[in-house]
Amino acid sequence: MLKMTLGGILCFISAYLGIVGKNYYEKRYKYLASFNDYLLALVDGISYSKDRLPEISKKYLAQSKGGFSKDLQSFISVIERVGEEEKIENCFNCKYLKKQDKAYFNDFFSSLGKVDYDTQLSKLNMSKAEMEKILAKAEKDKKTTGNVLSKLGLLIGITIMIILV
Amino acid sequence: MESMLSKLLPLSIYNELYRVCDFNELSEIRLRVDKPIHYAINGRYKRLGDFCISSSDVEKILSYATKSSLYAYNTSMVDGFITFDGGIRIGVSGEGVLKGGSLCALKNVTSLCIRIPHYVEIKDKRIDSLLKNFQNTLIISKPGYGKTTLLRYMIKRLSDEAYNVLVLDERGELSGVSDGKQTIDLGECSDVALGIPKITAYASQVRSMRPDVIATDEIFGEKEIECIADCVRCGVKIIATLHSDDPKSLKKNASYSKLLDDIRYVVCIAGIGNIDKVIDLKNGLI
Repeated sequence: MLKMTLGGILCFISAYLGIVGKNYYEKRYKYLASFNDYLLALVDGISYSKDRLPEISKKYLAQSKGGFSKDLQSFISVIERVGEEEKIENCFNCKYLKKQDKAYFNDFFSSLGKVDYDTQLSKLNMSKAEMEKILAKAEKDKKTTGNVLSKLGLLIGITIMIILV
Repeated sequence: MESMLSKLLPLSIYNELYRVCDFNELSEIRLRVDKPIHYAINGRYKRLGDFCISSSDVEKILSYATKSSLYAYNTSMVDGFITFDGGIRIGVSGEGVLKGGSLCALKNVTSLCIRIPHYVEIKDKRIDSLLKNFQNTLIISKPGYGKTTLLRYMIKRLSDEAYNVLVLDERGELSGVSDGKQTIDLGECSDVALGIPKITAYASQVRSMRPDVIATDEIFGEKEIECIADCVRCGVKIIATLHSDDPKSLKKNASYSKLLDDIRYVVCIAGIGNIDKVIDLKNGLI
């Protein structure tokens, strides 16, 4: 009976870890997809009406939710306050992002709005092209690695239970 | 104004200025990379100790002034200024970037001239009588003597007396519009054409807004003088400012001489809130 209970607990833990792994890839994909939407909003806002970053961002935030929106909100708060520009790197510190993702976001947002109109638009278009690749890779990771992790977690759990019982 | 400056200046500079001057009297701050800061109180310049600013301070100020959106100010930067909240105008100077022979951007900004607007109640009987029966008026003085301040005061007075005043505020300096809200009171009946090139505004806004009076700051060039002549011909009255120290020097210039044909009163300023003389071009001095 004890082995059965222990096996059940381990099976549950293993399956849970698998789901956490799957969740990680799903959340990362959602985060990056939201950023991609924001990039499109930036290109629209800048090229059409030359709106400023807080205005474009607030419009975007009014119709979006999720991890990226929270981080974007804190970025806007930072740029609207004087003397806090160093805090930009703390804004995009979401746990679903990889180390290289965080570095990319910090670079992107630290240099955003610091150049003239033409350069800003061409930089945004380059970021869009780069993000499409990153997003495609993240979607693939979500579908393959994420699904494999959840199934593997469950499978390992069942195996442990069978061995114990 | 204090809160506007706290949003614009790095803390070290703000604190240093706060220590030595009253922001209500501060009219200008001049910042040059690696040089001491100078500020003007009622038009008189003073040096802010030995406190020098760095290029990164200038970059920070530009970033605060543009709300981290330098690209949105490209055109006005090329024209040499940025308008910040509350009508604060920041003159910029640095290295020009040319494209096809024309200036397309400004980089390595080395100097900033921050001009702080004030609303001053001007108690002068000559101005009162001029406003009672308003006719085309030109305000002239040397730079920094308070032409814009007087213009704002007269706009408010005219507007409160139910004249529909169309304010051509190409640089956002007259109305101090910030995030779509007017921060400087220009009276009940004023309409502000903000950020529209003046030449365009004369044609489009005059037709659409049907003003009684058009107010414009710093007349520049023959085209604008032609536009003003057209407006006067249409029966719209004009109140404008112009850089000049003496109406006689205007008469020597062919374009400005044409402008004077349409003007009834010339107000000469001797300093902020200090009217030197009001000339009735038909009847002589008032």
